[in-house]
Amino acid sequence: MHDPKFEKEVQQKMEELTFIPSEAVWTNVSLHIGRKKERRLAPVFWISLLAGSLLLGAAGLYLLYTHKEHNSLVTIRANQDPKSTAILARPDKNSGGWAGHQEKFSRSSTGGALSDKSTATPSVSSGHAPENKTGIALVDKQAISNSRHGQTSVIITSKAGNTPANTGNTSANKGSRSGRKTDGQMTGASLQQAEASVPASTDPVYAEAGTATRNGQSLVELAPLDRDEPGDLAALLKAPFLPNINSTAGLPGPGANRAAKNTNLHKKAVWEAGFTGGAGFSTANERLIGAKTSNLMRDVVQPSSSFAGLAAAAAPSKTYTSRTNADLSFLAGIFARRPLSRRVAVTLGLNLHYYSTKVEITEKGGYTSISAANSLFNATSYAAPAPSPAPPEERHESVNQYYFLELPVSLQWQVNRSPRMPLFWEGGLSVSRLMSANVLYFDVNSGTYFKDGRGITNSTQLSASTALLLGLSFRGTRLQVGPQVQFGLTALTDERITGTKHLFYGGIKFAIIPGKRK
Amino acid sequence: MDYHQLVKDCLRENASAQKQLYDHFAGGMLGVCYRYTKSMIDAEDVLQEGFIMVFKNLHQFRFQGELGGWIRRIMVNTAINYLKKNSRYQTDLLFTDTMLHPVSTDDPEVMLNTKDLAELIRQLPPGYQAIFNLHAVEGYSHVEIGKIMGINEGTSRSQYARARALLISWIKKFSAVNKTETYARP
Repeated sequence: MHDPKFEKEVQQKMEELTFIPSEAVWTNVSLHIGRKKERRLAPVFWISLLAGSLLLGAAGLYLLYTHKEHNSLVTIRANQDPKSTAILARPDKNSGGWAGHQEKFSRSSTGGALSDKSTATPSVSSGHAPENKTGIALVDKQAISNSRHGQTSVIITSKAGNTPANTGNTSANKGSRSGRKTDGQMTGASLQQAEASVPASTDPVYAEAGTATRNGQSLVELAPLDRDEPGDLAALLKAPFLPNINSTAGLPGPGANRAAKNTNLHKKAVWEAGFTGGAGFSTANERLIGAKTSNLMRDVVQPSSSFAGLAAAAAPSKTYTSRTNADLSFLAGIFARRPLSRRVAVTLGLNLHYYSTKVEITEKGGYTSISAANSLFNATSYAAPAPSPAPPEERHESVNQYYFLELPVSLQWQVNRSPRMPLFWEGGLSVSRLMSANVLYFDVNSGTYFKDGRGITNSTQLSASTALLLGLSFRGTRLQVGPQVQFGLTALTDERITGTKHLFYGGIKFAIIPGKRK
Repeated sequence: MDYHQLVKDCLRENASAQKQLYDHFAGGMLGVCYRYTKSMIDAEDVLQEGFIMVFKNLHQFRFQGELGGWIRRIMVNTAINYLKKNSRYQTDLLFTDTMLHPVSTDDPEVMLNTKDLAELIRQLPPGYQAIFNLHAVEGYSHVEIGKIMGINEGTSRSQYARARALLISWIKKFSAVNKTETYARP
């Protein structure tokens, strides 16, 4: 065995071997350490982004669900004045398109059928209503100003105590009623809630509504309501409505996944198929965001000159407020996807999309209310207490349902480069065809409600959608899930009849691309 | 130096502590890397990768040994991996000689200074160089070297014997030349 003296000497000398490294070494080391910090922060960023998106989606859904759209207002006021007058809010002839569609109905206090005569109510632009013809001003200036948010309301006032003696006065004694164009769907029905104390209530309020036709479309009118029947509105709402089944094409679904990228999809460029679905809430709004400046309220609101009538109204009034709330919506379908590049893919799909909105009518007594809401994120209501205590309110609900068959086309872009948790942003358009519908509409012209299957609904819809999806992979099967919103670019219904309505959907979307188990 | 506190500061990603740790060990570790490579550039590359590994795995240091020794092992492993990855060293790392070569009992006095000796070591073929450094300087056994280099123990012994004999011969020649030059001087 050799003496390791040599090794010891070498080891000792090599221990002393030192050099001064160049500055570049530490620079590169420190840079690498910094990049490591950035990489550590990167997941935090994306997780935060995802959490924020989910939170935003949840907030949107919450707003959708809690949004109260005060579509219309009907107020019927009873007055002891023997010379009862009914004031119909009338459209301003100078106010624009709405005036042209406005119809005015006057009802004879003697129980005659509803006539199509126009009342002599002065236009808003005139700013004055003859006292003999206009009984009560229901809104004040503040309400007028607040009404510029595109709200539609129907105001009907009828002084109680109308007697046959009043029949002699055509304009003043006849209970007049006006259907006001509203963004809401259900204001007019409350018109029928004329108080029993008014003799004129024996007249079928919507006698002519049953034969009404709008733009060549035959409207299925609800049964005429008797003014004497206090439960007319309830009967209207509880009436069995024909189910509207609309099929909606779903939102575009799937997108490229990182796994696909790893398999060089950009080279193969093969189509992939998968399933998509989603659930959330839908509503029908005039606009997606923001309030619409509208002069519709001026058609309804009486000028300040009639405030004297308001003060003279001693009897409590009834208010019927119609609200359109968000309701459940879901979609299911299939899709095919083809990658265009490493991070971009195009998707074609076929979805069945169910939309629904809940219409809620609240009957209040002793209050005069003005409500305004036409946009998704705007809802305002004003109420002034009546002299007498208000009776308990009653609520009636109806669900409008649409079934659409959708053909979505979308592009999906992978935002990050993470192979584990890819994040996709998706945007696209979809053409949808209404398959079935069960809808209760409010005719803003006549102030009546009617059921409609597919009559006034625009059967073909064009929608825009966007989604932020997180990609996950389980044993070869890729899953994408995230919030999605979709807005109808085309009007849901005939704007001349129901006002502008666009479908809005917000929910959680998922897409599944089955893969081979590895 | 309080290595314990220094490591803790580095784990808190204290930049000054990291720089302090680097400055303290970089010179010696570059010497280690220098012995395994053929150029200073390669040595600095190994040093850079080694320190990146040090900071990346510093949380695994349990203070059960010398911090310098722990860093040194990382540098050695990084250097070996560097040799394996680098094509310039790969061909020379092929060990086909499995015949045993008796280790020379010649233990000449190493009269060379540190850098001259390091230069001679670096003149060895890469395979010899690595095994000589691992066994003679780092103190690894041939079994350990076999595992590190991916060769069997016998090959390691054989290669080391050749490297040692070659280096001793060079040292003798180098010393003779220096002695001659010394005598020649007036």
